[in-house]
Amino acid sequence: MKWAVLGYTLTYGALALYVASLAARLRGAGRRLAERR
Amino acid sequence: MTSSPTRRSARWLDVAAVLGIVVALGFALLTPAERTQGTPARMLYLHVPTIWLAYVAFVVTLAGSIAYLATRRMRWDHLAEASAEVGVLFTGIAVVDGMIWAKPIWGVYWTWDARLTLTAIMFFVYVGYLALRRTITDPEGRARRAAILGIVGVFQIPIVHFSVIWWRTLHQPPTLLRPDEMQIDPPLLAALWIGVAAFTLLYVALMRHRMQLARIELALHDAATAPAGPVAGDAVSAPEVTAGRSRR
Repeated sequence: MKWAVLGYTLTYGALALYVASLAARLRGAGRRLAERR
Repeated sequence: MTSSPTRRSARWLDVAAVLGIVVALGFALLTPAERTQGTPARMLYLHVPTIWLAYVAFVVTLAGSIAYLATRRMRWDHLAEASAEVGVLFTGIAVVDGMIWAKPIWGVYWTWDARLTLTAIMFFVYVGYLALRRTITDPEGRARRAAILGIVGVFQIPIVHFSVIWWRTLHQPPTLLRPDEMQIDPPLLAALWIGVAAFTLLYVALMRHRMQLARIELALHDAATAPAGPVAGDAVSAPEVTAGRSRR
């Protein structure tokens, strides 16, 4: 059971990290573009 | 405050992707355990969808690369770039999931098996694709060079996929896209297809946002490199200097 728990935790954790990183990059780029305009 | 239909549909896509992933998780955990491997076989519902998405993502990168070279429109480069990044994410997850599945079944996390080695090479080729993009600042030059690598890189996919048929490997034969009938019980197959559908929906949602980021980054680049407008004093010509004296 521990292997499945480890696998699912790492996968969903990695996906959540990527989504958070993408959201932060989008916010940062959007803010920089708004400042330029 | 009202939002545009495009933004509303993007939000619904995000909600559907999150719901899909939750439903897929439920099916993966509640489906009966596989008879011989037990619970470690539940990694199937992660490992197969993520490597499937890696294949899909790199084929989309190929399509975007060809379309860019044919039309020179940056939207195709954005598609290729976004898909390569998401594909690297899914390949990395598939490799790590495979290692976690391998430990209780094979006794080792990693072995230099044909499938594992070729998948690792594919991962590093597309990490190289993303690294190549970082080294070139000119958007057109970057898109052109990346497109060539995006086209060449895709030839690995059939080799990775059919490596378990062409060579004697420790890895089991393909679960999906195999030449003969799939040998898997219907409840397990249903959970697998739900996982594939949910992760595909997530891929589409991630692609929308990543392409939006690529568009904003291009707009920022254009704004930074645009020639400055006329400034006060531009119309005044500098005095000519001859033999140390100014000529007026």
